[in-house]
Formats: sequence, C-alpha cells, structure tokens
Amino acid sequence: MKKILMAAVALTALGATPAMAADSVAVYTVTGNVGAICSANTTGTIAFGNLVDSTGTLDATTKQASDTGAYCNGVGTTIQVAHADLSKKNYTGTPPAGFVSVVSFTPEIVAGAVTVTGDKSSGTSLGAFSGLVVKATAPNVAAGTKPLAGDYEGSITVTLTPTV
Amino acid sequence: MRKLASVTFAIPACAALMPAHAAPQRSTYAVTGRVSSSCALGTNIEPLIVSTTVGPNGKLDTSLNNKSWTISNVMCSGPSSIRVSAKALRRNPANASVPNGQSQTANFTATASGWSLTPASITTGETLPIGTGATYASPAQTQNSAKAGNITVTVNNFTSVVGSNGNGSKLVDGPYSATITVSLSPN
Repeated sequence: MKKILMAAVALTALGATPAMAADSVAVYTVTGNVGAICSANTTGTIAFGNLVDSTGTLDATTKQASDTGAYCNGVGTTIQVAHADLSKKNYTGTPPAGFVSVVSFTPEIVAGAVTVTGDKSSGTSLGAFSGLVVKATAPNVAAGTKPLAGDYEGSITVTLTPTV
Repeated sequence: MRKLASVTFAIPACAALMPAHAAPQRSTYAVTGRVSSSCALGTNIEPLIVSTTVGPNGKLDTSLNNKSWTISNVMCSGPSSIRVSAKALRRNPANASVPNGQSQTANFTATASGWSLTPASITTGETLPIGTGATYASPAQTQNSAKAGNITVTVNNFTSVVGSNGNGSKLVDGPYSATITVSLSPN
C-alpha cells in the first residue's frame, strides 16, 4: 500500500512540469539613455599679430584656434555664431581722412566635417561632431583706407545647443 | 618630494575634467591684432634733385626760385615727424679751386609743407665759395595724428656764397646741382 501511494505521488509530480519539445527563449529588453550634451572650451584667443605690411597696407591672413577636445553627441545639435569686428582699443574718435579704426573679418567654424561661415543668429543644424576649429578669415578695410596704428580687438562667440 | 609628486598628479587630473553641458554651451574667442605705426612716402622715395646751368655771365637762373615738387600718396598710420635735409647748390663736378671773386656754391632754403603744422625748413649753411658738399638738416616737425596726403617741397632764397674778398656773387659757369631729402618717421 505504501509503495502504491509513492508511485501516485511521483506521477502527480511529473504531471505538474510542462514538457518542452523546442528551446526556451526569454527576451529581456535592456534600456538606457544618453543625454545630449556639448563640451567645449569656454574661452580662446585668435591672434593675428601685426595686421599690416611696412607700407601700412593690410596684409593679414586667416588665423584660427583649435579645440580638439570639443564635441556634441546629439545628432540634432545646432550652432549659433556671432562676431564683433576688430576695433582699435580705447579709441572713440573719428579717424582722419584715409584711415579707419575697424578691421572687419568673417568668422568660420569647422565642427567635425561641417563648416559654418559667417554669423548665424538662429540655430543652424550641425549634428554630432568631435573637434572644433574657430577661424577669423578675410580681414579687410574699406577701399582706399588704411587702419590706424594701435592694438585691435574683436571676438567670435559660438553657441552649441545639444539636441537629441 | 612627496608633496611635489602629489602636485604633479593633480594637474592632469583637473585638466581631464572636461565640462559637458546639456544646456547650450557658449564659447567666446577673443580676436586680437596690432597695426604697427608706419610711414610711407608713396612710390617716389628718391632724393629730389635741383639742377641748373650757370652761363658765362655767372648769374643763377631766377626761375629756380619757388620751384616745387609734390610727393604724393604719403601716409603715416600714427603720429609722425618730418625732416628735410639739403646740400647746397654746387658746381657738379666741383672745381678744386675757384678764382678770386667767384664762387661755385649757392645756399638756398628748402621747405617741406603740407604735413606738419609748422613746415619743415632748412637753409644750407655753406660759408666758403668752394663749398664742402655737406648736408644740412632741419629740426623735426611733428604731426600729432595719422595722416594721408601729399607733401610739397619748395626751394627759394638762392644766394651765392660770398668769399672773404666780398666779391663772390659771380658763379663759376658750368652745371650745378643740389639734393633735397625728405624724411618721415613714425613717433
């Protein structure tokens, strides 16, 4: 009688386990999030040095500053660019005839494989990139004029907006 | 030594902390340049030459008086100084000696105007009829601001150098010349 009972228990246990004819597959969804960020130096200097030749004629060429560690990881990243022309420092007067106190230039930003030329007041699509080069190109003065002697200063401001 | 080592390691550790922002990242680059003070005397940078021929009468051509030259496209990008220097009008080639009562040298005044408030001016100062060929330079006259324009050089007051016998107004005949140099320098 005792043996019969044990056999019955064993059969009951077998009946509770599903029988598998194929491999069992369990799919686990792994999720994460990478926030859109930008990283870049907040300041830098682009130095032209002497802007003129021995006759006072403007002969400067493109100068640039590199930020090799700069990056944005968002494919929707946009860029805004603003610049202030080179102006003679601490000078508020009116230049004598034939002279100017401002030297214009064009900003050019190279972000990865994308080049942005000129000021961009609204966000211009840039995408993810690594490495930033900021250039001051084509320094110029009005035809028939020469820049006054002295030190000059301007700026280029680059705003990177990270977007996924 | 231990402190030194800890400082050495601390620097790269800080440099490696790249700031990353989810907000817009603004970078401002200062753009700097310098314009050196310079002057340019246009394309005509050779000395001016005064030349004439004295005939047998020993008289100097009166048309030399108030003769002028214009130096164009002169420029200084900052304050500047102007000088004019000249050699007396002298027989060229000069004779080794001149007869008593005659001269081969005439002093004159050269004036550079149109640049400084007070024109730069020099009168040559030869004292011997035979002359020396010396160069005489004016004091510097200043222009306090940048300027672009022309300079006019005028000569006048030609006077033959009188000898000790007081009778040197008659010039030895032949070709005569003088040189005038205008110098412009940034202050």
